[in-house]
Amino acid sequence: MAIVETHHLTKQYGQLVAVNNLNLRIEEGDILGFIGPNGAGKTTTIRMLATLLEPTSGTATIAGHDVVKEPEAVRRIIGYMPDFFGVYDDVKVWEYLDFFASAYRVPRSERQQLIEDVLALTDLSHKRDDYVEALSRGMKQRLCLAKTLLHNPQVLLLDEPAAGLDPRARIEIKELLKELRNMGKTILISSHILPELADICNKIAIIERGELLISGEIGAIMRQLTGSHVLEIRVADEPDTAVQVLQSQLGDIREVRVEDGVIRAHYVGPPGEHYRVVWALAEKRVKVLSFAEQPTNLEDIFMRVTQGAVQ
Amino acid sequence: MLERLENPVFRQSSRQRMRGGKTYGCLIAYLLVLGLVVVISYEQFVSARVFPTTTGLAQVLFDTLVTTQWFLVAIITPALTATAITMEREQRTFDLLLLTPLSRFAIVWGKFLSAMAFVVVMVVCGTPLVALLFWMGGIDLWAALERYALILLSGVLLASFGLTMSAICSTSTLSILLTYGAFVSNYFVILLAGVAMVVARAFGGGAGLSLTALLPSWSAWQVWAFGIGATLLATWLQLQIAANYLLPDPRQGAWKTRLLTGALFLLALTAAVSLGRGAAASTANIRQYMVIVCTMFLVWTVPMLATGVPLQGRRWIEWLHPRSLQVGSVQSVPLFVALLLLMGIVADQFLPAPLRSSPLAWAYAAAYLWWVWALGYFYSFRIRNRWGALFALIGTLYFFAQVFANLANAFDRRVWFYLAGVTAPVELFDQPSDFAVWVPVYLILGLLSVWSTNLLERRRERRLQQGSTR
Ligand SMILES: Nc1ncnc2c1ncn2[C@@H]1O[C@H](COP(=O)(O)OP(=O)(O)OP(=O)(O)O)[C@@H](O)[C@H]1O
Ligand SMILES: [Mg+2]
Repeated sequence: MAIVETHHLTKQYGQLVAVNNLNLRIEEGDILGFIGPNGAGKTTTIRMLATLLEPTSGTATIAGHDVVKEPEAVRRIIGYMPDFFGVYDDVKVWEYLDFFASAYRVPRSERQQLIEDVLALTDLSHKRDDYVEALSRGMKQRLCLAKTLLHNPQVLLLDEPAAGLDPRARIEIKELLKELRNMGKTILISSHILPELADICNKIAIIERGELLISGEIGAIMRQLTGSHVLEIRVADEPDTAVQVLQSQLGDIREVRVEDGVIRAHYVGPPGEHYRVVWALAEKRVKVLSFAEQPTNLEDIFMRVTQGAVQ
Repeated sequence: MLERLENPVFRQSSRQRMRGGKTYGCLIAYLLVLGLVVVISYEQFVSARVFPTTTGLAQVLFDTLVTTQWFLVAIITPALTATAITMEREQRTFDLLLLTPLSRFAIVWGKFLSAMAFVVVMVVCGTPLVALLFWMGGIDLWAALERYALILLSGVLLASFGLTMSAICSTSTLSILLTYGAFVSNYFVILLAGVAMVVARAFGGGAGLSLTALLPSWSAWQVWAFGIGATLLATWLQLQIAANYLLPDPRQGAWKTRLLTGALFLLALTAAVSLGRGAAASTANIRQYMVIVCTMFLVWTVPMLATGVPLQGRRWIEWLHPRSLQVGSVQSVPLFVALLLLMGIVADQFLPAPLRSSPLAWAYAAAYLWWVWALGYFYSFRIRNRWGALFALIGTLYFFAQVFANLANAFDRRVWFYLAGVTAPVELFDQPSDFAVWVPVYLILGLLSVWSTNLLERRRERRLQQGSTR
């Protein structure tokens, strides 16, 4: 059974449907990248899973517990890191963690060690006695992650944990996530910075305007979508003729664009047969200098899928 | 075992409070004011040569000191709690706190205890001055203890009130405004009249307010037991209401909030009735009773009028559907108020005959509340911000009463006083017929405002539709 499951999950704010009929499944040990542009409904979904927002309709369960009916049980299982959060004034890093540890009923005798552990994990040990409000943004984010890990949750709901971090801090967060993955946690991580998720997630779900556009294994989605490759073609003279030829092949080719003299075309024909395009070009005696198939990345998938929704 | 009793919220907020520089500034200012008051009154009394003995002087100085202390505690305590929860909301720390296994009541309780700890600190800080006066001699130890008990009781009550406001409000500014608003208007004191009476007695009280005059049948310890019991119960109820408002969506717990409010209402009724014990069953009795009951209704039902969501349907039957109570819609208020009135009437039957209020009094209360609700209904549609609606409502109620009461004073004409009755139950009714006149007036006023709300709303919708088709 999936550890996180939603059935027709819907949230409405007045007339606005923020999340519409969302059906999501996350298996134990999955790292799901939850991707969507601004206002897509990522935060709304995650807050519903975290029992902080009541769904208008539909259900969501975490480890078999309904988020509306058994919020206490769900809260013990999840660790939630909000996209925006504050910290208390006049509190030191270890005191902040000590507060949450005691709130999570960690026995006093174990707290000290636990705090040292999560601080080490998030690389904050040297900041132990600093005041929380004096930490930098990235450090606060790591502190929040440390707090999230205190009660050893099985499922982590992380809402844009890398937002607003410098590249170095991002890499560090990513390393941390990999470590958590190795610890066997199930993680849902939202982001609009896609390439970042590629090497830590094994699944992705793309959402736009509250609708789930696509979800599943990254590889499978790639394969499903790489029915269309991007072809990059360079020609010796003006690209006009080449573009005309490509456009006449509309069955196999979609979206022809010219950027800096390089032609980019989406090939949607039968896989492994794009040599036909070269033939067609050769027939019209187009002087092809180079012809290459670009590897698809997450960004491409994202752009293609979400564009589809706009059209 | 001890660990189970540990409240992390208490520790956390006390730590924060004791670390902030503001707290010490506040304590020092408090001590300065106390010291100044003692020194100035000492100077005055000595220069006026009123007291030939130091013992008499000590007693007067002690009274002055304790009264000042009581006043300062009453001013400072609500400030300690009025932002306790709104600050967490504003600083965005609240979600993380809610997700911990701490119960909502534990969160509220921790905040409350931490505020009370500070109240105790304030009281204790004043003891050196008190010790000095004791050293002069002539102060009754029991009387002194009584007064400190009262200071603590007021602290408990005000702290829980501030906390409830901060749980209800979305921003700190609003919470402070509402807390002190209710506090400044004497509503809150009347609200828990039993306690007010105890306080009045301890501080000498006005002739009319002396409990011994009102309650000849109660001995001192009974009065105390009642006062303390009522305070603690009211505090507990308020903390429960506050905890209920911590749900992600306060509307989820609407039915429970209303149940608790109903209990608070019954408590106020009891307090009001005890207040009238021993007094003759004259109109004065009913009057006092009415004022308190209505005040109670205003303080607790009005916020609920405005925090509800307007239902879309306008058919009367939808308004009276019990489900609307559960979601806390604006329209469910008449139903809720009807239930409260029913509770009051039932409770009334258990009173000895001379204390029972007349059916006319209840009819008056019902009609008045109908009118207040209808005005709130009007505002909640016209002003689409619930707190704006609340302020407009309370503002209107006060404003009219104030204007007409002042006109009455200025021109010495009773008719102005009668007009003040449009928005406030004024204490001018000598005859039962005075009550009777207002029943139909309130009914008509209420109907008018509901009717005009619906008319305006329909017109607005038509305009919106035309706008969208164009
Ligand atoms: N409290 C609210 N009241 C009304 N509308 C809201 C509320 N919260 C969110 N919305 C709306 O719901 C939609 C989804 O918002 P959400 O915050 O879930 O998006 P998101 O995917 O997290 O976006 P971002 O990438 O910017 O964080 C938005 O259109 C937003 O305006
Ligand atoms: Mg978001």
